Amino acid sequence: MTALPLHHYLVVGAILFALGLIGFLARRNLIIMFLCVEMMLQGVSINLAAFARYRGNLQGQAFILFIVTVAACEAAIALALILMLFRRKQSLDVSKWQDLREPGEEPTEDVEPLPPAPREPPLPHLTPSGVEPEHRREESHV
Amino acid sequence: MSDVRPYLWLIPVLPLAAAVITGVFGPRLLRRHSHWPCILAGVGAFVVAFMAFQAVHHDIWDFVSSQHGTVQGQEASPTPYPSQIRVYYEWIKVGDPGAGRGIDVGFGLNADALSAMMVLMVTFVGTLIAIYSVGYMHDDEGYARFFAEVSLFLFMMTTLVLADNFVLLYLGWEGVGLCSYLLIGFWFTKPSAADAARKAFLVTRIGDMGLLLGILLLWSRFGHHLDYQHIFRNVQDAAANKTLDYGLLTTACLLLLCGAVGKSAQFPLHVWLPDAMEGPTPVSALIHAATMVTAGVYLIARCTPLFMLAPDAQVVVATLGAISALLTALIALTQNDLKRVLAYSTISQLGYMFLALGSGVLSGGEALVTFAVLAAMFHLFTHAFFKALLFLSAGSVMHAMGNVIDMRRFSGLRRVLPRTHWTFLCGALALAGLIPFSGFWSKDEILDAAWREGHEAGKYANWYLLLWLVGLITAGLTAFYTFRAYFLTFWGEERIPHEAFEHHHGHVAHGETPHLESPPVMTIPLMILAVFAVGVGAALGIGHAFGHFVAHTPGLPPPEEEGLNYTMMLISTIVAAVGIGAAWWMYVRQPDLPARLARSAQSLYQLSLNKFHIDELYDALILAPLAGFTTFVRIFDLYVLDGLVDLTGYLFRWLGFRFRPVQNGLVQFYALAMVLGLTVFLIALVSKM
Amino acid sequence: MPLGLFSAVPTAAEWLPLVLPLLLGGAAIYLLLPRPQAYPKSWGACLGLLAVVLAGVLLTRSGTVSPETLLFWSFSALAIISGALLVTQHNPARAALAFSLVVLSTCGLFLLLAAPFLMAATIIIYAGAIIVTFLFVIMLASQSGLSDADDRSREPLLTTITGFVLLGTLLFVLQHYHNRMNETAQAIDRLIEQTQEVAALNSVAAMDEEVGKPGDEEELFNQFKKLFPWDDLRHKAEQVGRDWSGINRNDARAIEQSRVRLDELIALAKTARHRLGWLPPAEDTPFSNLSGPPPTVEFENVRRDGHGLPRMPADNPAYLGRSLFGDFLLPVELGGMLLLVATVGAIAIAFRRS
Repeated sequence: MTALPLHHYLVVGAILFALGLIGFLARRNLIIMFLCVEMMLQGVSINLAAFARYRGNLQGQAFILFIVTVAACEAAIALALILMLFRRKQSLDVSKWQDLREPGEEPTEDVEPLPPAPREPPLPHLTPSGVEPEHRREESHV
Repeated sequence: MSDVRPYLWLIPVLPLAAAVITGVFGPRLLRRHSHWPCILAGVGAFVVAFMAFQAVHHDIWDFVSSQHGTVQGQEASPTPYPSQIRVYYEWIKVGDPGAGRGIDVGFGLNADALSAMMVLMVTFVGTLIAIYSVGYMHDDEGYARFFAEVSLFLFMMTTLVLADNFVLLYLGWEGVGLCSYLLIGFWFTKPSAADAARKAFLVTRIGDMGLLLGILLLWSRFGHHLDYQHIFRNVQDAAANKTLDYGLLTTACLLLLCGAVGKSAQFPLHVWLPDAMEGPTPVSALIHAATMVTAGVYLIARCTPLFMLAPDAQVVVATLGAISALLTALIALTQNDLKRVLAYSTISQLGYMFLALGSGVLSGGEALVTFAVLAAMFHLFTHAFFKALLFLSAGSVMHAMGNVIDMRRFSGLRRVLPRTHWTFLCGALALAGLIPFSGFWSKDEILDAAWREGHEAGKYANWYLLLWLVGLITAGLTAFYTFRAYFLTFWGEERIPHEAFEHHHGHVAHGETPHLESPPVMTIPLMILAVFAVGVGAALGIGHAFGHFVAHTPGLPPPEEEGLNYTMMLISTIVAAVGIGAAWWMYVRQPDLPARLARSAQSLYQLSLNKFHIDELYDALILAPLAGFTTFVRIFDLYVLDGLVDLTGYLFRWLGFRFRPVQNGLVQFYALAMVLGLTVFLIALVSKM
Repeated sequence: MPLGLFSAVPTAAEWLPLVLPLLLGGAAIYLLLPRPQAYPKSWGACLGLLAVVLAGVLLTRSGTVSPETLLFWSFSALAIISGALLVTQHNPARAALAFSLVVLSTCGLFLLLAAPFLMAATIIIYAGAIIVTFLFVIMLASQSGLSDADDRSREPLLTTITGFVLLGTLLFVLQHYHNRMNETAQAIDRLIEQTQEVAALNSVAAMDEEVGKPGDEEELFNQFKKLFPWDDLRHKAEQVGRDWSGINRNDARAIEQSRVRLDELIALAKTARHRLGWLPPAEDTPFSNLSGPPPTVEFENVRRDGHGLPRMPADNPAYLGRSLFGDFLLPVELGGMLLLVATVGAIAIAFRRS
């Protein structure tokens, strides 16, 4: 039996990295952007682990541990910052922060309108209890 | 034999040192004493010039006594008369001069008969004028600047005269042009003075261009040398071997003539000299009478070995001289400004010198060449003295009359300014050419030369006769207008303009003859010059002492022993006397006659008064198209060239504006740009694998 | 007319691995399909899981596919699909859960790559701590209804194109090198076989004939030299070739010497095979052996497993610890400091000042 070629693992790492890159560039939610960054790091970790395995030493694995450490620190600080940013603008949209553009340029606004939010089904309206409802008084025909 | 070469360099350098000292220290340190460096330098230069003269004289004496009559009839050319030449500093050495493919020019000074005489005259007259200026420029604010510029001028002029090569001559030539500009425009805040200075510079510049071309032509075609000796020897060897290109030589001579015409204010480049009277009067005396304008004459005299082989060029020289003489004499008849009269008279006398230089054609014999050149140089010499005298006297009058020089505003100044009057009279008599005053001897020789040329079997013999006639008529006109000026100024009723009293120093009681005479520092140079104006002609002319000395210049053919042409002397005396008499009749006996004549010949009078409209003609023909071209160029520069430059600027700004929206503040956009760049880079790397 | 595929009746051993998972899978789907009176979902789910596991076991058992390959493809597919889900989900909470799936699949891959400690550490730290933190923040920073942040994308076309072009480039490079390495590896293997055949010959003359004349294109040593991209191995091959030519053919022990030379050549070839695509560092780089055998160790001296890959230590955490505290002590300390700073920083930034 031949071993799985190194190349296969590297391809998986590359795919994860690329997906994370696309997500980071395209998604506007700060938290999801950050998750995509973490996914990029995962792709890199797979690469490193594969190299460590195929070389036969533990250097790649040590590197991955450091990556995990740094990712953890990064997550902490990034989430703190995200919280701060949310408190400022009450939104997690990264596009709200455009103030470092060229002076004199208009801010980039979204053109396409969002679909209308699904309306909550209206609560049924019940008559208050204890009050006689209005009705036609029956008159006797006698 | 005494060797003056160790000291020859002092002649230019002393005035240069004075100029530097006065220029640097004058305004602050020396102030009212700024004249001392200049005068001391002038005196020093004169002493060394005198030593040079002595040395050259000694050498010539030795040479003649050793040759003892074998000089005549020699075919050797140039005639090996002694000259003391030394190159003091190697200036430009480019290429391979030895092989004929380069330039080797040094600061070489040459003391021979011609240059010794010239430098003696220049330093003498210059020093006297500097002394005169002490009194004339007494109140002026730019006192130090004046003397610095005069010293600089003396340096340039002596360099010009003493140069032994064309390039150093050109240096001095341009330098005197520069100093003339500085001095004419001395009162540069006055617009007319600034304009006159610019006009002088530009007009002489036109001539200088021709001079430069002539020098280059001589360099390129006659052996790639630039010093006189080599060029003249090459030309004369070529003539002897029948390999000389006469057309080329004539062209070179005509180009040199351009320079001379510009500097000596001959027709058609004479227009700057009358306007140059805007400068202070000592400047007019120094530069525009005695020294700078004579540079052209000196140049042509120096280049006699070239000119005498180009008779076509010589006839042009003579014709231009005669035209200038007659034209300006006609203009001077009607001018009202005393200095203008003298200016036109200068141009006229210079015309005489050119006429003489042009009359020395080789076909009339070698002796005639020398005689004509000597006649021109002799007239130059005497003219320096009497014209400087006349200008200084006019300056004295102007100084006394409170800077009024219009002859219609004053008259009868004989008793008011006695010394000025007598010196002016001496000068006027010399200018008119009355025997026995100095102008007579020199002018007579010129007419003699023209007459003799007219009778030789040359190509243009009859033309020269015509020129002689023109010269004779001009002599009469000269006498007339000179004495017109004299009588208008010093005779008639005593009228003094009011500016004289405002300007003058002392108080004047009414009714008395006011004491307006100039101070001794001005009148003593006048008197010295008057002595020379009266006597130098007779002293050096009767026995041909001047001619004997200057004839021993290397390059001039050997002279013959001459007598005096008594017929010519008689004719010219009669003409001069007629002129003086007519002036006396019109301005003393019948004072209203001039006005009547002017009214009856109104058109002629106006033509003369307006200088024959030559200035206007130049304006229309040359200056107006040039101004149009200038406007076009200016507009082109402003809109097209500047527009192109601005366009480049706008282009980049526009590009920048187009790229501005890239900075839209969105982080993801920036990140996308980064990744795009990275991708492109990676693809480039991969495709190279 | 069948072409003789079924020349014999298939035995139970042949069709059982195929049919059983199919049956189970079919049953699972049948149970899960919606109907008015649905069966409990758990039955269908269990049956489906059982079907998948059985299929995998039977596949590996039959030898068609190695367990490693199967597991690799499963984990990779799961990772990629979860990654796609993460990128395309509206809801951030669901995205975080997708991310946890990505982490789990990646950890599966770590396990395949002989990194059990990493697997555990990653699950604990990432899927445990980091994702939980994310979920807390999502909770704190929640918005109701549709919002710009979730329902819009920035430049979808351009980012997708850029990302996939980048991916394409990377994959192209990887594929290209993979192919080249494969070809070179196969060529070296063929040459090793050839050399072994030559070494098995019995006479020097026959060996000479097989090897070929020196300078010939087909000559064995020349072929080796052409294949080796490394200068030192080439020089060594040349040396061996010269030694080979220098053997005295008439010596009694010529055949043993020849075999010795050929063995040297095979050893060189195996070193080359080992080195393919590895970019070994410079020979004088100081390596400790705390992280594993240094790359400069000779090929033969490295313990290898059945696939030819170097053996990793079974006691992975212990050796990893040795490596970290031996080779990478400074980074570990710095990492600790970084964690401290990050903690303090996060608190300082997010602290709500009342």
